[in-house]
Amino acid sequence: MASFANIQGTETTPSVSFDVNGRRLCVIGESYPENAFQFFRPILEWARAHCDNEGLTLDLRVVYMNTSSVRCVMDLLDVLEDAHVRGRGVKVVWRYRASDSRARKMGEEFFEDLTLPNELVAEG
Amino acid sequence: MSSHPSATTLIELSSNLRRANVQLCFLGPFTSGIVQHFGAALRVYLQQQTSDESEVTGVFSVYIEMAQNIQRYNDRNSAALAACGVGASSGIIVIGRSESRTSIVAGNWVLDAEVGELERRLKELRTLDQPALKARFKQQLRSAPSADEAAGAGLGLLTVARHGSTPIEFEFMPGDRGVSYYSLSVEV
Repeated sequence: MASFANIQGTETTPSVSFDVNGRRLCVIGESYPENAFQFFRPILEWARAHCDNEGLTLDLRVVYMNTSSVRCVMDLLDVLEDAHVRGRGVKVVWRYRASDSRARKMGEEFFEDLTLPNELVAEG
Repeated sequence: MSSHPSATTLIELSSNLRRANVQLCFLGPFTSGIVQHFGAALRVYLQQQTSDESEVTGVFSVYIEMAQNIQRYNDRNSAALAACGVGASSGIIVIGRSESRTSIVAGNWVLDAEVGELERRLKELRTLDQPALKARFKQQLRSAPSADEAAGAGLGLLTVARHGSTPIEFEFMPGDRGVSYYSLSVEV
Protein backbone atom coordinates (compact mmCIF):
# COMPACT_ATOMS: atom_id res chain seq x y z
CA MET A 1 0.00 0.00 0.00
CA ALA A 2 1.32 3.40 -0.96
CA SER A 3 2.28 5.54 1.98
CA PHE A 4 0.49 8.76 2.67
CA ALA A 5 2.59 11.87 2.97
CA ASN A 6 1.19 14.07 5.70
CA ILE A 7 0.50 17.62 4.59
CA GLN A 8 1.33 20.48 6.89
CA GLY A 9 -1.28 23.18 7.27
CA THR A 10 -0.83 26.76 6.13
CA GLU A 11 -2.98 29.82 6.72
CA THR A 12 -5.15 28.95 3.71
CA THR A 13 -4.88 25.16 3.54
CA PRO A 14 -5.62 22.55 6.23
CA SER A 15 -3.23 20.00 7.63
CA VAL A 16 -3.97 16.49 6.41
CA SER A 17 -2.75 13.45 8.29
CA PHE A 18 -3.51 9.77 8.24
CA ASP A 19 -3.47 7.60 11.33
CA VAL A 20 -2.75 4.12 9.99
CA ASN A 21 -3.88 2.21 13.09
CA GLY A 22 -7.16 4.05 13.52
CA ARG A 23 -7.66 4.26 9.73
CA ARG A 24 -8.52 7.89 10.32
CA LEU A 25 -7.84 10.69 7.82
CA CYS A 26 -7.82 14.00 9.68
CA VAL A 27 -8.28 17.32 7.90
CA ILE A 28 -7.75 20.22 10.30
CA GLY A 29 -7.58 23.97 9.80
CA GLU A 30 -8.91 26.39 7.25
CA SER A 31 -9.32 25.96 3.53
CA TYR A 32 -9.54 28.88 1.15
CA PRO A 33 -6.72 28.54 -1.38
CA GLU A 34 -7.20 30.23 -4.73
CA ASN A 35 -7.10 26.84 -6.41
CA ALA A 36 -8.62 24.31 -4.05
CA PHE A 37 -8.71 21.53 -6.63
CA GLN A 38 -4.95 21.56 -6.92
CA PHE A 39 -4.67 21.12 -3.17
CA PHE A 40 -7.32 18.43 -2.82
CA ARG A 41 -6.53 16.36 -5.90
CA PRO A 42 -3.83 14.15 -4.29
CA ILE A 43 -6.05 13.62 -1.26
CA LEU A 44 -8.96 12.60 -3.49
CA GLU A 45 -6.75 10.21 -5.42
CA TRP A 46 -5.42 8.74 -2.21
CA ALA A 47 -8.91 8.30 -0.76
CA ARG A 48 -10.13 6.62 -3.96
CA ALA A 49 -7.26 4.16 -3.80
CA HIS A 50 -7.50 3.42 -0.09
CA CYS A 51 -10.99 3.57 1.34
CA ASP A 52 -11.77 0.13 -0.03
CA ASN A 53 -8.92 -1.59 1.80
CA GLU A 54 -9.78 -1.65 5.46
CA GLY A 55 -12.32 1.08 5.89
CA LEU A 56 -11.72 4.72 6.63
CA THR A 57 -12.94 7.47 8.92
CA LEU A 58 -12.76 10.98 7.53
CA ASP A 59 -12.37 13.41 10.41
CA LEU A 60 -12.99 17.01 9.37
CA ARG A 61 -12.33 19.96 11.63
CA VAL A 62 -12.35 22.85 9.22
CA VAL A 63 -13.18 26.26 10.66
CA TYR A 64 -13.67 27.95 7.32
CA MET A 65 -13.89 26.79 3.70
CA ASN A 66 -14.34 28.73 0.49
CA THR A 67 -16.79 27.44 -2.10
CA SER A 68 -14.15 25.77 -4.25
CA SER A 69 -13.00 23.84 -1.17
CA VAL A 70 -16.62 22.91 -0.46
CA ARG A 71 -16.79 21.38 -3.94
CA CYS A 72 -13.65 19.34 -3.27
CA VAL A 73 -14.90 18.09 0.10
CA MET A 74 -18.14 17.06 -1.63
CA ASP A 75 -16.04 15.01 -4.06
CA LEU A 76 -14.23 13.43 -1.12
CA LEU A 77 -17.55 12.55 0.54
CA ASP A 78 -18.77 11.06 -2.75
CA VAL A 79 -15.77 8.73 -2.74
CA LEU A 80 -16.67 7.60 0.78
CA GLU A 81 -20.36 7.32 -0.05
CA ASP A 82 -19.54 5.02 -2.98
CA ALA A 83 -17.38 2.88 -0.71
CA HIS A 84 -20.21 2.74 1.83
CA VAL A 85 -22.66 1.63 -0.84
CA ARG A 86 -20.22 -1.16 -1.70
CA GLY A 87 -20.34 -2.24 1.95
CA ARG A 88 -17.01 -0.86 3.15
CA GLY A 89 -16.64 0.42 6.70
CA VAL A 90 -16.42 4.15 6.17
CA LYS A 91 -17.53 7.04 8.32
CA VAL A 92 -17.30 10.82 8.40
CA VAL A 93 -17.05 13.12 11.42
CA TRP A 94 -17.60 16.90 11.21
CA ARG A 95 -16.23 18.89 14.15
CA TYR A 96 -17.15 22.52 14.71
CA ARG A 97 -16.86 25.14 17.40
CA ALA A 98 -20.07 25.10 19.44
CA SER A 99 -20.34 28.89 19.20
CA ASP A 100 -20.24 28.96 15.40
CA SER A 101 -23.69 28.13 14.06
CA ARG A 102 -22.64 28.67 10.43
CA ALA A 103 -20.00 25.95 10.78
CA ARG A 104 -22.57 23.55 12.22
CA LYS A 105 -24.95 24.31 9.36
CA MET A 106 -22.22 23.59 6.84
CA GLY A 107 -21.69 20.15 8.38
CA GLU A 108 -25.42 19.45 8.39
CA GLU A 109 -25.65 20.35 4.72
CA PHE A 110 -22.75 18.08 3.83
CA PHE A 111 -24.50 15.19 5.56
CA GLU A 112 -28.03 15.77 4.27
CA ASP A 113 -27.70 13.65 1.17
CA LEU A 114 -25.38 10.99 2.58
CA THR A 115 -26.31 7.51 3.67
CA LEU A 116 -22.86 6.72 5.08
CA PRO A 117 -22.49 6.88 8.88
CA ASN A 118 -21.83 10.44 9.95
CA GLU A 119 -21.45 12.37 13.15
CA LEU A 120 -21.58 16.07 14.03
CA VAL A 121 -19.41 16.91 17.03
CA ALA A 122 -19.61 20.28 18.82
CA GLU A 123 -16.36 21.27 20.45
CA GLY A 124 -15.72 23.91 23.11
CA MET B 1 4.51 69.70 -7.77
CA SER B 2 5.07 66.56 -5.75
CA SER B 3 3.10 63.45 -6.64
CA HIS B 4 2.23 62.39 -3.10
CA PRO B 5 -1.11 63.49 -1.63
CA SER B 6 -1.05 66.61 0.51
CA ALA B 7 -2.43 66.75 4.05
CA THR B 8 -5.52 68.50 2.66
CA THR B 9 -6.06 65.65 0.20
CA LEU B 10 -5.70 63.09 2.98
CA ILE B 11 -8.20 64.91 5.18
CA GLU B 12 -10.67 65.04 2.30
CA LEU B 13 -10.10 61.39 1.51
CA SER B 14 -10.60 60.43 5.16
CA SER B 15 -13.79 62.44 5.56
CA ASN B 16 -15.19 61.09 2.30
CA LEU B 17 -14.55 57.55 3.53
CA ARG B 18 -16.09 58.29 6.93
CA ARG B 19 -19.16 59.82 5.32
CA ALA B 20 -19.60 56.61 3.32
CA ASN B 21 -19.40 54.69 6.61
CA VAL B 22 -16.17 52.97 5.60
CA GLN B 23 -14.52 51.18 8.52
CA LEU B 24 -11.97 49.18 6.57
CA CYS B 25 -11.11 49.32 2.94
CA PHE B 26 -8.80 47.56 0.54
CA LEU B 27 -7.74 49.07 -2.76
CA GLY B 28 -4.86 47.56 -4.67
CA PRO B 29 -3.75 44.43 -6.49
CA PHE B 30 -5.87 41.37 -5.71
CA THR B 31 -3.18 38.72 -5.39
CA SER B 32 -3.36 35.59 -3.22
CA GLY B 33 -1.06 36.85 -0.49
CA ILE B 34 -2.77 40.22 -0.22
CA VAL B 35 -6.30 38.80 -0.29
CA GLN B 36 -5.28 36.38 2.46
CA HIS B 37 -3.61 38.95 4.70
CA PHE B 38 -6.25 41.62 4.35
CA GLY B 39 -8.70 38.84 5.27
CA ALA B 40 -6.70 38.16 8.42
CA ALA B 41 -6.84 41.86 9.32
CA LEU B 42 -10.58 41.90 8.66
CA ARG B 43 -11.04 38.99 11.04
CA VAL B 44 -9.13 40.74 13.82
CA TYR B 45 -11.27 43.84 13.28
CA LEU B 46 -14.51 41.82 13.38
CA GLN B 47 -13.48 39.94 16.51
CA GLN B 48 -13.04 43.29 18.21
CA GLN B 49 -16.50 44.41 17.06
CA THR B 50 -18.56 41.34 17.91
CA SER B 51 -18.43 38.25 20.08
CA ASP B 52 -20.71 36.43 17.61
CA GLU B 53 -18.37 33.94 15.93
CA SER B 54 -20.99 33.07 13.39
CA GLU B 55 -21.11 36.69 12.21
CA VAL B 56 -17.33 36.78 11.90
CA THR B 57 -17.44 33.60 9.78
CA GLY B 58 -20.24 35.03 7.65
CA VAL B 59 -18.48 38.31 6.89
CA PHE B 60 -15.17 36.56 6.27
CA SER B 61 -16.85 34.12 3.86
CA VAL B 62 -18.44 36.94 1.89
CA TYR B 63 -15.13 38.80 1.77
CA ILE B 64 -13.19 35.75 0.50
CA GLU B 65 -15.76 34.95 -2.20
CA MET B 66 -15.87 38.55 -3.39
CA ALA B 67 -12.11 39.01 -3.32
CA GLN B 68 -11.39 35.70 -5.07
CA ASN B 69 -14.04 36.49 -7.69
CA ILE B 70 -12.29 39.80 -8.47
CA GLN B 71 -8.90 38.11 -8.41
CA ARG B 72 -9.95 35.35 -10.82
CA TYR B 73 -11.83 37.76 -13.05
CA ASN B 74 -8.86 40.11 -13.35
CA ASP B 75 -6.45 37.22 -13.94
CA ARG B 76 -8.65 35.66 -16.60
CA ASN B 77 -9.25 38.93 -18.45
CA SER B 78 -6.06 40.86 -17.78
CA ALA B 79 -5.26 41.45 -21.48
CA ALA B 80 -8.80 42.52 -22.44
CA LEU B 81 -9.07 44.77 -19.38
CA ALA B 82 -5.67 46.32 -20.08
CA ALA B 83 -6.84 47.07 -23.64
CA CYS B 84 -9.70 49.06 -22.09
CA GLY B 85 -7.27 50.98 -19.90
CA VAL B 86 -8.05 49.05 -16.73
CA GLY B 87 -4.95 48.15 -14.73
CA ALA B 88 -4.23 44.94 -12.89
CA SER B 89 -5.18 46.47 -9.56
CA SER B 90 -8.75 47.24 -10.52
CA GLY B 91 -10.88 46.47 -7.52
CA ILE B 92 -11.93 47.69 -4.12
CA ILE B 93 -13.53 46.07 -1.11
CA VAL B 94 -15.17 48.22 1.52
CA ILE B 95 -16.33 47.14 4.96
CA GLY B 96 -18.88 49.21 6.83
CA ARG B 97 -20.56 48.65 10.15
CA SER B 98 -23.65 50.04 11.71
CA GLU B 99 -25.32 48.82 14.89
CA SER B 100 -25.14 45.05 14.68
CA ARG B 101 -24.65 44.63 10.96
CA THR B 102 -21.61 44.55 8.73
CA SER B 103 -21.83 45.55 5.09
CA ILE B 104 -19.36 44.31 2.52
CA VAL B 105 -19.18 46.05 -0.82
CA ALA B 106 -16.97 45.05 -3.75
CA GLY B 107 -16.34 47.09 -6.87
CA ASN B 108 -14.40 46.38 -10.04
CA TRP B 109 -14.41 47.01 -13.78
CA VAL B 110 -15.92 44.31 -15.96
CA LEU B 111 -16.02 43.96 -19.74
CA ASP B 112 -19.26 45.26 -21.28
CA ALA B 113 -19.69 41.97 -23.13
CA GLU B 114 -20.17 40.18 -19.81
CA VAL B 115 -22.51 42.63 -18.12
CA GLY B 116 -25.73 41.16 -19.60
CA GLU B 117 -25.23 37.63 -18.33
CA LEU B 118 -23.90 38.75 -14.95
CA GLU B 119 -26.82 41.14 -14.47
CA ARG B 120 -29.28 38.39 -15.37
CA ARG B 121 -27.77 36.07 -12.76
CA LEU B 122 -27.69 38.73 -10.05
CA LYS B 123 -31.30 39.75 -10.71
CA GLU B 124 -32.36 36.15 -10.43
CA LEU B 125 -30.44 35.69 -7.17
CA ARG B 126 -32.39 38.62 -5.71
CA THR B 127 -35.66 36.79 -6.30
CA LEU B 128 -34.62 33.69 -4.35
CA ASP B 129 -35.30 33.28 -0.63
CA GLN B 130 -32.93 31.39 1.67
CA PRO B 131 -34.38 27.88 1.08
CA ALA B 132 -34.31 28.48 -2.69
CA LEU B 133 -30.72 29.78 -2.49
CA LYS B 134 -29.74 26.67 -0.59
CA ALA B 135 -31.43 24.39 -3.11
CA ARG B 136 -29.74 26.23 -5.99
CA PHE B 137 -26.37 26.05 -4.23
CA LYS B 138 -26.66 22.29 -3.80
CA GLN B 139 -27.83 21.78 -7.35
CA GLN B 140 -24.95 23.82 -8.74
CA LEU B 141 -22.47 22.13 -6.43
CA ARG B 142 -23.55 18.84 -7.97
CA SER B 143 -23.43 19.99 -11.57
CA ALA B 144 -20.12 21.88 -11.51
CA PRO B 145 -17.04 19.66 -11.53
CA SER B 146 -14.56 20.85 -8.91
CA ALA B 147 -11.77 21.06 -11.48
CA ASP B 148 -13.70 23.69 -13.43
CA GLU B 149 -12.65 27.02 -11.96
CA ALA B 150 -15.02 29.24 -13.94
CA ALA B 151 -18.00 27.25 -12.73
CA GLY B 152 -16.96 28.20 -9.22
CA ALA B 153 -17.79 31.86 -9.73
CA GLY B 154 -21.54 31.18 -9.78
CA LEU B 155 -21.21 29.29 -6.53
CA GLY B 156 -19.29 32.21 -5.06
CA LEU B 157 -22.18 34.59 -5.78
CA LEU B 158 -24.63 32.11 -4.30
CA THR B 159 -22.50 31.92 -1.17
CA VAL B 160 -22.47 35.71 -0.90
CA ALA B 161 -26.27 35.78 -1.24
CA ARG B 162 -26.72 32.98 1.28
CA HIS B 163 -24.76 34.81 3.96
CA GLY B 164 -26.74 38.02 3.48
CA SER B 165 -29.37 39.04 6.01
CA THR B 166 -31.07 41.00 3.20
CA PRO B 167 -31.01 40.38 -0.58
CA ILE B 168 -27.80 41.29 -2.39
CA GLU B 169 -27.65 44.67 -4.11
CA PHE B 170 -25.74 45.49 -7.27
CA GLU B 171 -25.15 48.23 -9.76
CA PHE B 172 -23.53 48.57 -13.17
CA MET B 173 -22.25 51.94 -14.23
CA PRO B 174 -21.28 52.13 -17.91
CA GLY B 175 -17.79 53.42 -18.61
CA ASP B 176 -16.68 54.76 -21.95
CA ARG B 177 -14.08 52.26 -23.15
CA GLY B 178 -15.85 48.94 -23.31
CA VAL B 179 -15.96 48.41 -19.56
CA SER B 180 -18.57 49.00 -16.87
CA TYR B 181 -18.12 49.47 -13.16
CA TYR B 182 -19.73 46.65 -11.22
CA SER B 183 -20.53 46.91 -7.55
CA LEU B 184 -22.00 44.23 -5.35
CA SER B 185 -23.03 44.64 -1.74
CA VAL B 186 -24.49 42.55 1.02
CA GLU B 187 -25.19 42.92 4.73
CA VAL B 188 -24.34 40.18 7.19
